[in-house]
Amino acid sequence: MTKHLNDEQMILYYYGESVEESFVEDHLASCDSCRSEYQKLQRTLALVTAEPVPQRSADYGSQVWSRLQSQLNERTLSSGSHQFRPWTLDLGSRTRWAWAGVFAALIVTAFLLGHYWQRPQPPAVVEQPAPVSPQARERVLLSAMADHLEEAELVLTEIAHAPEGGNVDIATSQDLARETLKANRIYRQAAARNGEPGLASVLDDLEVILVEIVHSPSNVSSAEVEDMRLRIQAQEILFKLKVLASQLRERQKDAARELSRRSS
Amino acid sequence: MSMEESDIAAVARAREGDGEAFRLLVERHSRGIFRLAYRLTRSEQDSEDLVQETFLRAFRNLSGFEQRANFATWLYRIAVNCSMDWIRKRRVHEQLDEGDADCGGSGTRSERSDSESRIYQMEVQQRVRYALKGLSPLERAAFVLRHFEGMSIEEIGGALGVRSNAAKHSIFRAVRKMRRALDPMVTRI
Repeated sequence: MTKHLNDEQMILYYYGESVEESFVEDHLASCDSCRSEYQKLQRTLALVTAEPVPQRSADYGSQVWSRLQSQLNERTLSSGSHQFRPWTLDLGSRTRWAWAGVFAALIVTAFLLGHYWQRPQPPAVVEQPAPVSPQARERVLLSAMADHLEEAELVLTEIAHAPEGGNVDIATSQDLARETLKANRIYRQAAARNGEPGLASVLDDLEVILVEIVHSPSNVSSAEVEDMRLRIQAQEILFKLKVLASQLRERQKDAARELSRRSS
Repeated sequence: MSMEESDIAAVARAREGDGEAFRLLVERHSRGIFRLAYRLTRSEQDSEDLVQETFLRAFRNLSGFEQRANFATWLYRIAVNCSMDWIRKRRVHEQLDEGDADCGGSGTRSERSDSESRIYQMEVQQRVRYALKGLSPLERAAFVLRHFEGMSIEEIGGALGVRSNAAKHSIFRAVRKMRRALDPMVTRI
């Protein structure tokens, strides 16, 4: 008895992507059941027509540039010209590690400037009995940020390595993601406020993924897990988190050594 | 000089800090990116924002562009990622609105004065929109790129940053969901 075509074979054939085109053609010609099913597929997909895309004028690109220019000026371009500030443009010779180093340096700078951390804080911080040295504060803050990045990395790693096939229980990862998300919002806002679009962007990307994890059902299908996994991979978010955390740990050690040297 | 050579030359200049070169790239590709974003989101205003976001991300990541690659493809991929982020945010933060959810249409059909054919088309479009919203971000992107943009599965894999097999299975899942949503309409034909 001849085996019928499955829907995957029909879909590939419909889109001209079948590697067994002649076989499918011959089968459709000889099998009423499959031909009927294929015609139904054709009718269905023929209904999925593109809605007209709103037209854009010929100078649309110029309009986009005008709007974009102001944003780039705010972030990266020197005023009155289109020249990029050298530190914001990651030149081809730089490595990802150097790029991450810039982020780490920006974090430290922002912390030391105290734009965020010296804002009014809960009493436990405000009422500290003795002043904290900048080195000690830097060390604590670097540690906190590195901890945060490593926690986020842990959450994403758990998802990325979830077992394949069948439904997956991600309740534990969700609990951790929920806590990480709260902290991430604070760090992201601080980064944005301190004019660190690159860092804010990484944390923003992280937040999107964390929100997705938190709001997913506890029991997700393997396809949904695969979506999350692909998203994590596509953004290289794990790599970025790892690099940033590593850089911060190094800085933390340096700060500790400096603190020790000063106290001795 | 071909378009691709011009793009690559412009990217090289932009990486050297030449803002005019980046402007050239923006002006050249904005309309295409808008069209893609609209196909994925079906929202005009959000597509405008996504065009901006795409170029901002491209600018920030110019160093990640490999000179041998096709700039348009690279930019396309960024635009797809931006659009997928948008879809994810919408899926997480918003429920499908009641108008879209009410896609059965039996109650409203009798109230409309348009012809049966017109009403049928409206209902089809409503169901298509609803079904597209029900797809996962990856399924939606893969399906739109295959069905509307006519990209091959291999190209879609490249645009989405996934293996061809993953792109293919996303399309399978998307088509199945579209079929479930549109089956009642097909039987009415």
